[in-house]
Order: sequence, then C-alpha cells, then structure tokens
Amino acid sequence: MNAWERRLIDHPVFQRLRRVRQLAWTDFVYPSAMHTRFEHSIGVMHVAGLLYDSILRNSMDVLSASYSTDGEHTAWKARERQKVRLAALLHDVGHSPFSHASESLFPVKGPEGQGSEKLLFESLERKKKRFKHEDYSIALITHELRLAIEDDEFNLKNFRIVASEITDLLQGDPDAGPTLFWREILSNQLDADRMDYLLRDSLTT
Amino acid sequence: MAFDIHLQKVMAELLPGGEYPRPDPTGLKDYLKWDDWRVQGMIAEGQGGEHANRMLTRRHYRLIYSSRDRLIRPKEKRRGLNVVLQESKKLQSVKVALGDLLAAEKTSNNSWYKTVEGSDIPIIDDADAALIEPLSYYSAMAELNAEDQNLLYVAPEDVATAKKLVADAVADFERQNVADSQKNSKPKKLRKKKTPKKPPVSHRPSERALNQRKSKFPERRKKMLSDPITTNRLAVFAELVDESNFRIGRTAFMKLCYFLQTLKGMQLGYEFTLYSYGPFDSEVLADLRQAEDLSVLESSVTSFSGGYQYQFSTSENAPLVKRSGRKFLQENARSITWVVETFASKTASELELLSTIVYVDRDKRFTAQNLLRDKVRQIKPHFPLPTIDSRIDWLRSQHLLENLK
Repeated sequence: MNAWERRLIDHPVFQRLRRVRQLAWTDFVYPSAMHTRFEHSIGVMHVAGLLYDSILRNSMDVLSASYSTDGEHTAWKARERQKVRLAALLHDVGHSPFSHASESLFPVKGPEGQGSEKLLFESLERKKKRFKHEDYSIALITHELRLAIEDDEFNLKNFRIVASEITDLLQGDPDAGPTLFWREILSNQLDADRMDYLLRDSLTT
Repeated sequence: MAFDIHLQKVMAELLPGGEYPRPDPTGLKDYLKWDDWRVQGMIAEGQGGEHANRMLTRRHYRLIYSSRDRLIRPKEKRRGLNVVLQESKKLQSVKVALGDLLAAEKTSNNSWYKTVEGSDIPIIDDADAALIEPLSYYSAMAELNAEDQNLLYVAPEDVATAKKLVADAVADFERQNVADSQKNSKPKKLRKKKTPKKPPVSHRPSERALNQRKSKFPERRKKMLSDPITTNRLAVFAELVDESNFRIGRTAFMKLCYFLQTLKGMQLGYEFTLYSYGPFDSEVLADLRQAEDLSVLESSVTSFSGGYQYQFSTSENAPLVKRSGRKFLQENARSITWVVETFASKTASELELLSTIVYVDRDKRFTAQNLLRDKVRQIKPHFPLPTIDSRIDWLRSQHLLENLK
C-alpha cells in the first residue's frame, strides 16, 4: 500500500465504512459476522492488484494489443495498476447503513415524477428508477474525494490521475478507453469484489 | 433476512421524508451522516417504531415457509413450466391458509453465477492445455442458485398457530396433487404406447396440442404474465431465434437486445454499460438462463480449439411464451424483423464493434467522425482504423447514428 492509498483510507468518507457492516444484521445468526465495508474495500484493492499483476505476468500478448506496446515500456503499467486499485478501493464508499438492507429507500432518479409515465410497466419502474449505492460511490468520488485524489502529492509526482478516470472505469464510460479492459476484474462473474467477500464472509458465517 | 425486513421499516421511519438524501453535492453531506452507529443509537433511544422495538428485543419475524431454492433443477428442464406452476400454486395455498398471520414476504431472485457462454468462466484442463470447458462443467457450486425463492414470515407470537396452518396447507396440496396426477395418468400411458417414436428435439407441438395445453394449464400462462417484462423478453428471444436462419450465440443475443432497445426504442428494460467487448447487461444472461430453464430456448455447446461456444435454438415452450407476449411482439414486429435482417448474420466480433460505435455515439455525442473513430479505437485497439471508419460509414448510411449524421 502506498502513501496516497493510506491517505485515502484515512479520509473521513472512507473511514465511514468502518461503521457500515458488510452483512447488516447477519451477526444475529452468525455472531462473528461483524466485519465492515472498510476491511472488505481494502481487501478488494489487494485482490485487484494481484489479479492485475497476474494478468500482466501471464497474458502480456493480449495487453500488447490493447496498449500498443512491446511490453518493455513500464510507465502505463504502474499508472493503470494504480487506477484499478483505487477503483477497487473506492467502489463501495457509497453504501448506506447496513449495506444493502435499506437500498429500497434510495430516491427515485430524475426530477420528481419525470419518466414514470414513459415507462410501460410498473415493475420496470420499481426495478430501474431508484438510485443505487454505485451512484453514491460515483458522486462521492466526484465531489467529496476529488481533491484527495487529484491534489495528492504522491499522485501529482507519479501519475496525475484525475477522479473522473476512476469513475469512468467504475461506470464503463467510453472515456475510460483501453482501461475498460480492466473493468472485468472489478465487475464481472468472478471479480476482485467477489473473491474478497466470498472468502471474508464465509470465514465468519 | 427477517432483520432486513425490520430495518427497512425502521429506516423509512427514521429518514426525513422516508428516503435517503439524493447523491448530489447538497445531499451527499447529509447522506454521509447515515451509518450503522447512528441508526443503532436511534434505535437504542427508542426511535424507529414497532419494528425497531422488535429488533431491540429480538422479537423479530420468523421464517415460516420457504419455496424451493431453485425452481428448475437441470433434470426437470423438460417439465420447466409445470414445476414453476406447482411451486407457485403451493405457495398460494400456504399464503391463503396463513391469511392475516402473514407478516411479510421476501423474494430472492438473484443468481450469483450465470452459466451461459461468455459468462461461464473458462477453465483450462491441468493435463491438457488445449481442453477448455466452462466452470459449471466442473463445479456443482456454479449450479447452485437462489432464484425465485419465496420466503414467508410471521410474528414470533403467531409461530405455533402458523406452523400448523402451513403443515395442513402443504399436506392438502400434496394430497390434491397426487389425486390430480392419478386422474391424469391413464390417458397419458395410453398415448405413450401409441407413439412409436420420441419426437426429435426440434419438434414443435401442433396448434391443437398447444391449445389443449393452454386449456389444461391456464395458471401457467398467468404465471408467465405475472412478470410482463420477463415474459416479453423471453418472447423476444424466441422470436429472434425463429426469425433468424442462424443459430444465435450469446454475444448476438446481447447485442441484438442492445440494438432493439437503443436503435428502436423497444422497452426491454435492460441497463447496458460499456465493457471492452461492447455494451453489456448481465440481466440478458439471467434471462437466457431462465429461457433455458423454462424450455423456451435450448442451447448446444460447440467446442473449438481455444474455447467453446453456446448456440441457442427454440425449444418446446417457445410458442407458449410467444403467445403470452404476443401484444408486445406485434407492437415491435417490424423492429425485430429489422434487427434480425440487419445484424443477425454478423460475426460476434463485428457486432461488438458496431454496438460499441453506437454506444459511444449516444454517450459522447461527437459530431466529427475522427473523434468518434479515435474513441472507439481506444476501447477496441485491435481493430484497424480503416475498419472502424468503414463501420461508422455503414452505420451513418443506415441512419443509425444519432449525433454523426
């Protein structure tokens, strides 16, 4: 973990995750299930880094096509790795209390009333129109964490990564460009998130 | 799960206006003040109403009945709709028996792992690196899914009464079920003896057989219609395969749905986001799986050097689901025909490129071709620039780009 990552972890927005339990009230059934989004997020960053390193080690031929490189030039490797690790670290900062348990109380997207009459089915509206915790994560990275990302001395000296590069990667924005390749290890069938929580949650339940 | 029910009610009581602040610069400050400690403190102080009190005193709702954790077992695929129907009827009997004692109902409908091509993780054989099979071939875990499981809850003070009601309702249902199957078993046996050969997989039931089935299982149709989005989606899948002369693969399904929704405004309700292989929504895969479970589609796996591929064709219940979604299909008949004629014969790689161009056009609103081309090239660097340019030209000629006319 580098100094920049440590400072982001020390940020109040990230420290809040110490007070958001990963499995809500599961401890009433499995008393040890008291872990929080805080350690999970750090774990996801760690796993994402391992996955990144492994892909680089074993599949450079695939990456050469993506990054138009002979594999010797190393600057992009460290920068991309850092983006992937930060996206992994911050992907859950937007969780509400007790993680998923009260997400049905997120407000409806768009100005009040807009859109509802356009939709054919009530179930479609129920399913699709509320904000998700991912929307809060994106908003927090964009607003509350932006300075901590962009003005950090370690970042300025080494990478000059801007907050939108993290949110583009998390959201799948075309502006992420070749970095979209790494979205698979952040959000997919068996991604860094699942690799961490399957191990972590099963340890306590 | 019971505590989640209570927590939801408690939070609705504690949050101003009953919902969280919006994720905008103003709302975020207030949102960040909400964490577990604050909620627990408020509950400890006596706020949050009856449900908070139940949590505090551990008088939480108790699970009294749960349906099977996955409705369709692989061996039951041929009877798919009937299994759904039976389980749904049993659930209804239990709910009716519980009456006012039923305090809450939850449905679990997320499958954590999608066993269709492209999502099923490819595993390289230890002994033979050329042998690649999907994870679900090896792992029973990959087949375990808590899909469509219904959970019924009652208050702890009602558990004793409720248990008896549930037991009686289930016993009545099973008795009735046995009686029904005995009544129907004789003609079935006779029919079987008269049938010399098993129909081939591609056999489609006659119109008469379909009508008989429809009148025999009216509730089955009701069940399909109870979720209009899924019914319509499955009907569209079946129609896509029927209209196409090709066996459609998973990539094609994903991209055809994307084109239908984006280019033709069809209300399929998917939320596509961009990956390096183009627009994607895992719900399309979940629906494909359900289509297989309900024998609307069937897939075959083709292995080739370096991988495997699933291809879909329609199965015996495709006509039924198309009938259920006929209004939606009629409204969108032209769009479906158009998307099949325009895109279904294209390769997966071609579809990935075309859909990426359309996605970037909609998202970035470039009005200069070189900007659109360069952005697409960044996402899909293995395509040469002239190839990307030619596909943009083709999409423009078809008037399919919104911002690049």
